[in-house]
Amino acid sequence: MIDKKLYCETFSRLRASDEAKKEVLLKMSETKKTRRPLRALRVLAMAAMLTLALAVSANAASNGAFFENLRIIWQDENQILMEDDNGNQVVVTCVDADAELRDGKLILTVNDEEIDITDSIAESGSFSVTAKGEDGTEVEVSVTGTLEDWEVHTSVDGGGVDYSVNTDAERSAECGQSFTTTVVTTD
Amino acid sequence: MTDQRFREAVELYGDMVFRLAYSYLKNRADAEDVMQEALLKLYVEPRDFESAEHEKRWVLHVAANECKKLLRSPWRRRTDPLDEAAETAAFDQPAQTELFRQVMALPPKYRAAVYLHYYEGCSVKEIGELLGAKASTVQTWLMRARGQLKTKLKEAEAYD
Repeated sequence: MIDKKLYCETFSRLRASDEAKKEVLLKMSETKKTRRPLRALRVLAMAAMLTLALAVSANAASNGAFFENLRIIWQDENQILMEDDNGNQVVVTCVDADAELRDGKLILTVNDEEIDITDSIAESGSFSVTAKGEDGTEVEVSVTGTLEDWEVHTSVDGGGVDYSVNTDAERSAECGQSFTTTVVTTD
Repeated sequence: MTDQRFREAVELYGDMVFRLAYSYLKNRADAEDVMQEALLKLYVEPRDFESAEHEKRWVLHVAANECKKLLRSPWRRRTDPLDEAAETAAFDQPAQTELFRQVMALPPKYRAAVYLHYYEGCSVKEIGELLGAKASTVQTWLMRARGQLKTKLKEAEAYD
């Protein structure tokens, strides 16, 4: 058996330095200033709609933007509930997907998994992979463009109609904050 | 989270996260990085936790994930030499120094499980949830850790 008292006395001596604690408070201030984008908002894929499903389906046929000026009213690690000026609400499932050029190679990172998509983009201008959101929703992540200029999109089957959501990668948002984005139907 | 609340959280969780991260990574610089990263995630976390215990478990879970991420990273700093590690904390009893040395000689998962069990009072089920392992696996880690420590500490005692 481990002597619990001795163990606790021993490991209580391990302490983070005051400098490290001060530094994290400084970083907090920087975080406030820069408002770094929340991971969940880098790329979003819509999984379901809470209200106005019929209206959305009708809009789907027009293949255009139908939600603008969305405001986040609730979010957790996996999902974000957003509402527009008219009270229409959507729930989006978050998938962490991003592409970046590293040493001449285009690397797509999906949920912490890295994929070298250099050849696919160079040859065909597109690459896609299916990922799972943490709630099990299957999300298609696709990259289109060239090695100099590419875009990452996600889409998910929303009951017969595919929807995709694009957000400004540089924007940040938190509950209660408004921001402009568009939800575009792509059936 | 308000700035004041965050300052309190740094005081409340800073050393706890550092101890878990150090137990995992055996390197002060990496452990302090994990401490900062986990606390900054708490700062931007929008949810209201159900209780203080819920918040604490969340912070430990984030810290454990950061440690695992670092362990996988090729950029990770090497672990501190054991002598240097022992100097990280000034012990005033030889028994503490020896226990620290022997605990830190265990595999990372064992060290983390031992810390969470003996210091934070987590059950094997809770440790499993925090470290992403089955409770039975955690039970095995703890059993092996105890066995190895018992042998090593006896050897050290006999040597003295």
